[in-house]
Amino acid sequence: MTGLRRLSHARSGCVLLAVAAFAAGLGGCGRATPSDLPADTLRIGVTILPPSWGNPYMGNGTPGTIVWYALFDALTRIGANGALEPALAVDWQSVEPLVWRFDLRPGVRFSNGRPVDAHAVAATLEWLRSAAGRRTVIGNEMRGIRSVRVLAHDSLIIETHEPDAILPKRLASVMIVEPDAWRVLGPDGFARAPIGSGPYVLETWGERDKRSVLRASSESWRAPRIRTLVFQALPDYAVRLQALLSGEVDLTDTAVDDLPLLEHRGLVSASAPAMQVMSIALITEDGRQTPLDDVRVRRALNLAVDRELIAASLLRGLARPASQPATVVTPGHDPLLPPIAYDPDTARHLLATAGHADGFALAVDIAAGITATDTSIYQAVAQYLGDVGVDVTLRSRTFSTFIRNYLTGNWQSDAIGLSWNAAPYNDVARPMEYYSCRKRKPMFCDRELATRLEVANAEFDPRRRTRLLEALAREYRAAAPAIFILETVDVYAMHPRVQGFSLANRVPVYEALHLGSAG
Amino acid sequence: MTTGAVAGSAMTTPRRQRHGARRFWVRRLIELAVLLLGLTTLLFFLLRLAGDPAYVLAGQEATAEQVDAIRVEYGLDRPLLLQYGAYLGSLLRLDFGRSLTTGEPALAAVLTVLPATLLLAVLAMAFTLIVAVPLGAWIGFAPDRRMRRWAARGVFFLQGVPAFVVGLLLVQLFSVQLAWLPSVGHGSPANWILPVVSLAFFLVPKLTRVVAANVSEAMREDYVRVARASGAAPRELLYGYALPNALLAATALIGTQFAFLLSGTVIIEYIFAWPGVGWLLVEATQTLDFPVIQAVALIVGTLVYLVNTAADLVIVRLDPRISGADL
Repeated sequence: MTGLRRLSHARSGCVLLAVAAFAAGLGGCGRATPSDLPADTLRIGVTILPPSWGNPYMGNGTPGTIVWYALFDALTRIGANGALEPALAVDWQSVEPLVWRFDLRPGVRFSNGRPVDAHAVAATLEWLRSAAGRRTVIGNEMRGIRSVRVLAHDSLIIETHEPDAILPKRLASVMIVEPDAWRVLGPDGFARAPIGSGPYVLETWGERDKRSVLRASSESWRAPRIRTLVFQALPDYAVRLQALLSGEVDLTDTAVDDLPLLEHRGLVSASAPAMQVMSIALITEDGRQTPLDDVRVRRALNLAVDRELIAASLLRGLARPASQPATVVTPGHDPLLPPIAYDPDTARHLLATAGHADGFALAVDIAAGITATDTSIYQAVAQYLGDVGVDVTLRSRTFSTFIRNYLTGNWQSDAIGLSWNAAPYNDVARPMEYYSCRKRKPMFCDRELATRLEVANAEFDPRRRTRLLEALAREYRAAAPAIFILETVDVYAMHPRVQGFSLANRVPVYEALHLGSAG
Repeated sequence: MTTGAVAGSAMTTPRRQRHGARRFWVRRLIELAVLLLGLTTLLFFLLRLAGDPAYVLAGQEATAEQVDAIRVEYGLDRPLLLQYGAYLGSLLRLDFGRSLTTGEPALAAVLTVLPATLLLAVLAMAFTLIVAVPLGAWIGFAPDRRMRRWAARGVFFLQGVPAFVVGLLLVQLFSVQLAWLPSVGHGSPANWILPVVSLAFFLVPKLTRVVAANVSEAMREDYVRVARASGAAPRELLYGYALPNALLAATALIGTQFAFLLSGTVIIEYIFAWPGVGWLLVEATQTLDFPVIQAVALIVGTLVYLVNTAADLVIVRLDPRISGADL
């Protein structure tokens, strides 16, 4: 029975292998905390690590910025209240309409000890102006820069092609890299071994484990209070939640729905405005004649939605009902504008006046699932519109298809789910441009509004500019190019020992974080 | 039982054996080449229908020039057939291209995470064997007994429970409630337990039922009756006679189910943040990272084919009635 013996040996081998593996596994049981990390470690659950690793020019939003803001500094930054604050630059002024002068913070050094001076800043900006730099997301943002000139080791001049009143804000998303390392390693090499002046230094990207480890920098002017930061990539929201509940991460983003559960388990939460107004853009510039061409219809759609109830029921009152393009923390938000009333009767009347008493069909494309509650909110809006006779079909699109349609203007729907996103530099002129004739393939075009937007963008005095933007906010509200829904919020949950948590520009303020003994 | 077959194989000359082995390997290599060509072609054109990665890479703020520049940079501006020809040429040089999102070679990206997936799959297979073989043998040895009937029903029920549900329940119980085991990562052996048990759920019920059915059938065969009549103990009947033959069919099942096991790693890796090929595939699919998706598909396809071939060879070795030419 040779076959039997072989089988017997094979069976024994398998059993031994499995028993050994599981014995080893059980031997490692007990607790989830990796033993290779010091006690003074903050573990943050994130959706993904930056795809471009330490190359901070390949994106301008989360999740990349969550890691990059720990490694790098920009000349300016958007503070927790949405205001522009000094960072590497302590002062800036518009010398002439096309010329800005920036004075740098003295004594700042990169993590390798080299000075963060005007030459380093100029080198960064010059690279972004190069052919390779212009292909990056941040280089594209900086395409208005004409030249950069070093005045002294701590001051420089930036000249623009056109008057750019918000250049200091734009520069909040330009991370300054150590120029020699960038030049020697090139973008790909630097991405693996980044050197910045932020509060943390990269120890390992942890490609295999999807777990990046950063340690506190002794050189940073933003002195961190926690020795080690760990970014654990956990792409699925449910997994991040379970990791938080089981104590495997200390801090992660969360959905409003789960706050009762988290609070019940002794975890704490914090929220901050995300500088975005969630809305449904109503397309009027696709060459077709649709009911949306009539401003009365667009206003009717806005009146048909009960934002207060959506905010209270789906977002536990954390989000504010939107009344205009700017959020309450974004300059240009007009505090005097009253909320948009929930008035279905007036909505029906307006629709009837516009010749749509029987309603009409409305196809809305959405890139669903970007936040935990966005689909529920869109469905609620669709239901409200149905109540006034507008038959909404929500169509979920892949991100690729959604972006392609948006950029090419090849609209395959009547409306799209699109936020008025003032991030990353918290300026409402940015989303207003999307909703204007200035967009290459506009969704909505009002020449008068576009002209006034150009005037606002050319206004260098911050106060006067804010007044102009507030006036524009009122005009946009009246023109109703979108159904304004809610001012979205970022919500984080954390272990009670995480203290000093705040968000600035949608990213934790790392230097303010510290670990207490709670829990 | 095998007397006739053994006698038959004894008549096979070494020369015929060598010839048969050569034919076997040549046929298998041709099959593999056809499989990979088919897989490559299908994936290449299907992925291009899925969307344009230039828009994903460019983002919402991009200008038309930027999108065009990205297309040129990655060769996406060329006619599709030219792209396909260039792609096949690169494949022959084992160049799978570079990831559109990270810029690293696609093959390296897959090979970096492949060991983690193989570890998961091998451990899950080992766990499957540990549980399914004894359980199936126990049920199949006397299937009409009350306890075993209930066990068989339980296994039938478990076959309908998706592995991801098992995974989420295990995490809830052992990580969240009891805090005994970590739910994410793969750094230490403790990290292995929940994903391995969850992944094994793809196969344990199925293998248990196959082993039980085969053991039950074998127990009714003449050679077992003869052994029983000769005074063999029940344990000897089961482990000496019925189970070895039952495992032949199980071996074939393991080979064919390996592909399902690998497909199961996609969701299990996602749930347990296990940094393997499945997770890489999900990430690459979200960003339409064509080179990485194609590299994953080709490497996994090759792997599955090789495992199936290995299973066939094991069957040939274990069952003298079957020769390589039969496969």
